[in-house]
Amino acid sequence: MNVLKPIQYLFFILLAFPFLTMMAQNKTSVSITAQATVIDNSGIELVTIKNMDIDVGMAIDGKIYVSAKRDASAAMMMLKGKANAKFRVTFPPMVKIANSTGTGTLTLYYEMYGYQSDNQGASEPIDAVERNLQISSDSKYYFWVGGRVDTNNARPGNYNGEFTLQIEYI
Amino acid sequence: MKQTTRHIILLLTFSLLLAVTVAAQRISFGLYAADDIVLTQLNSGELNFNLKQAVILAGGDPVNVNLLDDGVGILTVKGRTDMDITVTIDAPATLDLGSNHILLTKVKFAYSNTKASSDDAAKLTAIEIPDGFTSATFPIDRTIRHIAGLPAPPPTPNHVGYTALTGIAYLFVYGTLGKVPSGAAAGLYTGTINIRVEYAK
Repeated sequence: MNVLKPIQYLFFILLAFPFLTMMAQNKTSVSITAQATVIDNSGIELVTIKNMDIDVGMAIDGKIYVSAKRDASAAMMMLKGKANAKFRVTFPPMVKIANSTGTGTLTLYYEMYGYQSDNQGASEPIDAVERNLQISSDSKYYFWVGGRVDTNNARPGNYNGEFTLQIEYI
Repeated sequence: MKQTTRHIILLLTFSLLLAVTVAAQRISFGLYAADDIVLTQLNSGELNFNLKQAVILAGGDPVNVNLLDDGVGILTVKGRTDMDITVTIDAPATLDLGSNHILLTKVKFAYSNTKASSDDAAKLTAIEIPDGFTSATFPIDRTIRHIAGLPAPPPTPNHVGYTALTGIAYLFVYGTLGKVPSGAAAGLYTGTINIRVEYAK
């Protein structure tokens, strides 16, 4: 009986081995990872720090130019969002500003510069077409807005307009 | 004792012969040479929704990774060209981050078996499996099988000295994530999609 046991095992192993081998080779599988990184929905906050001030006294031959990069009278805005997030900004290249005290309009052609810190002199031009930018590591981005306006055909009065800036994460 | 031993050995030997005889009458190609199927991940094995939409916000809209988008999971399947393969995809219902979950609304896959020279080229000829299907059977190389418009001859069983022709097909895995719940915690959500390939029986 002691002789029989090893023989029994050997037979069963011999019988089972080819089938086990085939079963192991029957299928090939692999796994891939599906993933997504989600960030807090803190949204984007745009804070107007300073309005653009157009003084007719600045006009040269009826034309006023406020440099977004150099003039202190340029408007300034600060964006608060997700640190290092990329975003897209669009704005209208021009706007007609109505005379709030009479007839007539002024046409203002915007100029916008932007930078990751409060440094107007280092800011870079941003086109009116969609432009991809990146928020700084401290969650901020700054915009300076200037523009050109021709006052030669303007009538006396007060002109007030709004600047619409559209921002979205990408 | 000696007598008993002789009987049992005889019985086992008979059983073995019987099994071999029966098995020899049935050729199952699903069992043949399946070990030569090789699956390879091409883009670090990821279906990455952030490559389609870099910023995915809690409460944000669903993110669709389509076949031609960035972020698609890409694999190659190398195997015999004279046999069909069956691909089965098993995807989780959600991507998870601890106890937080985002629905993996849809997982789709497509294959390209036109001998494409690259994954980009393969995408352009890929055949998308309709929604809801998790399995598909197709030849590794469609260009060989359909040359004369006639059914292909039966595959040659493996034998000594024979090497079957092999080819490469591409698999693409993509789908839809979300909508992301508004209260979803920030962080990396992951899930494992299992892909099984075998020779069609």
